[in-house]
Amino acid sequence: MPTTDSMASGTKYERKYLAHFIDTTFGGTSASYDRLGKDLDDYSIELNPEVETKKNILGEQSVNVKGYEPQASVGTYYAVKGDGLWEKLNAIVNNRATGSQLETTVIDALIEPTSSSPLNVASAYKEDVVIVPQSIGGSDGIQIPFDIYYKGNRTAVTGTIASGKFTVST
Amino acid sequence: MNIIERIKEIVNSFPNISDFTSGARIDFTSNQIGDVALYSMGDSLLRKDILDTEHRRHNFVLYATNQSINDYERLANSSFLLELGYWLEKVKGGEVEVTIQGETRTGTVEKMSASNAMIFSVPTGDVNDGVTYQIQIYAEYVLKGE
Repeated sequence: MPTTDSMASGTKYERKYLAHFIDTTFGGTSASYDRLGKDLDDYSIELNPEVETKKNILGEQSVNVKGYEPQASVGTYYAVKGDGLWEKLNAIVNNRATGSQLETTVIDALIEPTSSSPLNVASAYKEDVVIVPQSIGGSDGIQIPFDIYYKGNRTAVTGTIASGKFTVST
Repeated sequence: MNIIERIKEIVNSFPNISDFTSGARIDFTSNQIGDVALYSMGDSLLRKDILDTEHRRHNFVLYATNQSINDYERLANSSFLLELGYWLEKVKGGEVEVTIQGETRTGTVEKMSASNAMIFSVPTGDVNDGVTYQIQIYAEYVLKGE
């Protein structure tokens, strides 16, 4: 349920107000949603829609959208000691993990500034994903870029954002 | 403390700074022997991530005036600048605070580098009165976003 809109209509959103969180426990007992984005200049969820167009003998065109295959790529991710996501990615890389070991959930949230609190969640959606590391190493720090494949089961959630974490309301 | 104040503090904390001067000043040299000043040359945004974290660079020029009667003194002066350059490259950390349009943001110094350390001018035209050296200093710092 969207909260009170305090951002004036016609105002352009800054990129920082579309926030992306990932459960770093990978399906653990108590989810911990950490925000993605540090050192990331650009992050987009490619929807990859499957669109079929047909033209009939009357010259009319029909468009059928069969579905989406959302995918995102975290091109810059630096290993930070003690960071939950780094520990999971490192384990995946070292164990050459596959299958359910790569599964977790993400939350994509639209947030707006308000005068009463730093961050106000306008809307948030949680979805199952599969995380696939692409490489490890690099020249500056330890980098593990990874891809995020959205699996479905997308549901609206409510919650709060504080200190770079999303806490789902129960 | 803004980036100018922080870099002045860092330069003055160089272990061998007392070999050259009692301390660097800001934007003013009197061209007297032992006078050192840090000149701010401007700030630029290098890149910004999706959390609004800004990687910025501030450029400085340090002008230092010292004796330069013979090669021995000139070698000592150039060696001082060389060591300062090496030392600055190892520096990391140091909190910075910036206030823009009423919003205060904090950050840290991430990296420093130096270049073009050389004799800049002979203020009076007579090397016996001292010469002014320059070294260009670059400070990269990060301002935290969301």
